[in-house]
Amino acid sequence: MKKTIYQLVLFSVLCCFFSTPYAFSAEVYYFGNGGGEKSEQNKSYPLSQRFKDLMDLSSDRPMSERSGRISGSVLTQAEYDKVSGNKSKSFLDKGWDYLTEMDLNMQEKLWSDYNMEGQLMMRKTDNPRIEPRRDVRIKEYSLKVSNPDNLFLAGDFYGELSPLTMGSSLEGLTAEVKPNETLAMKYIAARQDGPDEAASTFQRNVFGTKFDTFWFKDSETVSNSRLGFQAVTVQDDSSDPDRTSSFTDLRNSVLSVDGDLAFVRYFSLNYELARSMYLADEDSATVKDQSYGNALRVTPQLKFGKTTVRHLYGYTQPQFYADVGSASPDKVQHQTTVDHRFSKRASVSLLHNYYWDHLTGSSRTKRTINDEKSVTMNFLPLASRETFRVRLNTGYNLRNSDDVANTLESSTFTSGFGLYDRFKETDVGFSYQYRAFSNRHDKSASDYFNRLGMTFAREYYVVARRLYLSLNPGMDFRRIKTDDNYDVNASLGFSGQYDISKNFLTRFGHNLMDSNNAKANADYTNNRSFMELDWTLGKDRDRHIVLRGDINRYMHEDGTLNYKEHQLILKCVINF
Amino acid sequence: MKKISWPGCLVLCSVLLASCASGRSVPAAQQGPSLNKRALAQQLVQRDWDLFAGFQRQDFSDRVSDEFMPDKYAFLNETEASFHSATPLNFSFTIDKALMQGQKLAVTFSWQKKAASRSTGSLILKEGRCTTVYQNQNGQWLIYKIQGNSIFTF
Repeated sequence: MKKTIYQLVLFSVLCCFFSTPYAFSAEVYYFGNGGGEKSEQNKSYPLSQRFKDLMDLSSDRPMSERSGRISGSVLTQAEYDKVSGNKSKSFLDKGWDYLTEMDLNMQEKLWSDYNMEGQLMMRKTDNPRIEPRRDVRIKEYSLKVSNPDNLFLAGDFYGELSPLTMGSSLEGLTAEVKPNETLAMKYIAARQDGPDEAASTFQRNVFGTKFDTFWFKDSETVSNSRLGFQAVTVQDDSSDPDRTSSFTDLRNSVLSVDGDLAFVRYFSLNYELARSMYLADEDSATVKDQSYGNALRVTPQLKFGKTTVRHLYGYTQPQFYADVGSASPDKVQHQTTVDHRFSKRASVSLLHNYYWDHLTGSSRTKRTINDEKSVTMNFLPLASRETFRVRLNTGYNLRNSDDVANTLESSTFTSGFGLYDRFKETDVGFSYQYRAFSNRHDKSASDYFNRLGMTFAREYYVVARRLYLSLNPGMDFRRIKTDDNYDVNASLGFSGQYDISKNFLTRFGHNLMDSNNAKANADYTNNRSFMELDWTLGKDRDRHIVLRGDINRYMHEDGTLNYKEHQLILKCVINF
Repeated sequence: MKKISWPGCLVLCSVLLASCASGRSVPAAQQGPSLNKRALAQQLVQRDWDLFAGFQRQDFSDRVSDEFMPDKYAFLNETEASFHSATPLNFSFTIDKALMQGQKLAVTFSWQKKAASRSTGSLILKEGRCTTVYQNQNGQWLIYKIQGNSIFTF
């Protein structure tokens, strides 16, 4: 009797639960996930329909007509390599290598306007160039539940909070929530992505949080106004792999405030101020080993008429460190770019980039000042010929120091032009570039380049089938300061594709590099050739078989450095 | 005859019936665009190497975002200096991860490359692992950030 009552109660509870499939929340949020997308509610699907849609791999029904889908691809590849000559100059080893990859994707519509996406990519290979281990490796995985406003993800993801604090591939958990139109939050608890094989480092844990507030939403003068706060902590997990290891145990924290302010007309501003704490090795830490540093980035931009002026001011103290962020420590930078469009036929871009190092607390002993200026102009000079384009560029980069013993002092001058046109369905191009690098400390390291390049590309129809050919010859002449003789390099690149039939095409190419060096015993020739046959099979064109052959030959004037590589690859791909 | 657990059947029936019950009648959720991230990643990395192998500063600069972190022009200068120190010859790579987040695509790949020293002609063999982050700007994927062993330095 007791058992029966218990079962009836359980039945009643289950009925209540399943009869209200949207009982997750009484409130429905209609917010954009950073994009202001419109929220659309999912239909309710019975379990049997969901199972049927997932297992329906061959149907072309789009997602709008189903509750979910499994898709993906399977790749199997066999590769035969053969190397002769100086094998130390090749990455290949003689013999067969095998590769299998499987990529699975699952999409499922959930309650309300939430959708789920799962992804899994696995690989197994005996090719040491691809994987150091031979077992099945999971290369990428993620499970995401999201609607246009909110996102919850477990697995691999690119975590980004702000440029100075975090922008890195991670593996763990992240959540993005936008409770209303004026507030957005992001949370991250993960570990830093690293190669499958541990290499002298602990697992690096990364925690981060971000709050963004949006202002003046209904303003007629301000198009975007955002203020953000973010905090990131990076900490090595010293409990792995073993306590006796001598790995350094890093700890790093960064706090920052950033924001955007854009007016409807003329002016916009982007800024970030950050402070970091860095400890290179926690295990051997004393208080004084912790270093604190500040960084600032401000980018105002002015747009008026056909002119855009953008300035970047960056100040990063030598002690500033962001392990998963981006910053150049020990640097003060002023960078100004001006873009002006004279007409639809002519435009000019000017750049001045000025920065130096050796700030207070720097470990450098000498200051280096970089002063770079450049001009680029683009023209369509002929009204009667809209396909003819001309590009001119000139630049000068001076690396200077007030310390004559600074070995980094140098100057680099570049100048060149490019001409591009289309004649009778053939795309043609010609370019010339001159570069003079002068090392003020070691004149033998100064060199001067003259580079010429051409391109030809055209589509033909041979036996009513498309044939695409591309030819790229080039030459460069190099001279060093202490030798009047020139190094002459000639290159020729050729590639093409012929569509033999709707389901069968071939690709081919050859690349030649021939170098005649002024120095004795330094000439070489490198030839690379390939040919590929690609069959597409199946009514839905969802299967590929690719057969590819490569030959590489390197011949040096010193015959002992010569080698030859042969590769034959058979690849099968099935998409579903 | 085996005794049937009626409460158990009732539970099972309720589940089946409830799953057939319709909730609110609403339009289907908008289907997101499908994107083959790995194929895109493959194309972008190969494109970047091809541009580097036939280096023309302005053509290469067009493929680098103006918001490149930390400094676009310092990156261009380093890449240009690297190209002029050794001639790129061979490059092969394998994509490990292609992670899409908003308008950014982070591609992690392991690579092997060969170059010939411009001074001696001798081969330089290098291999490494790199994460290149691309940013979608007006439909074009531009280089935003490079972490790890860059393929553009020797």
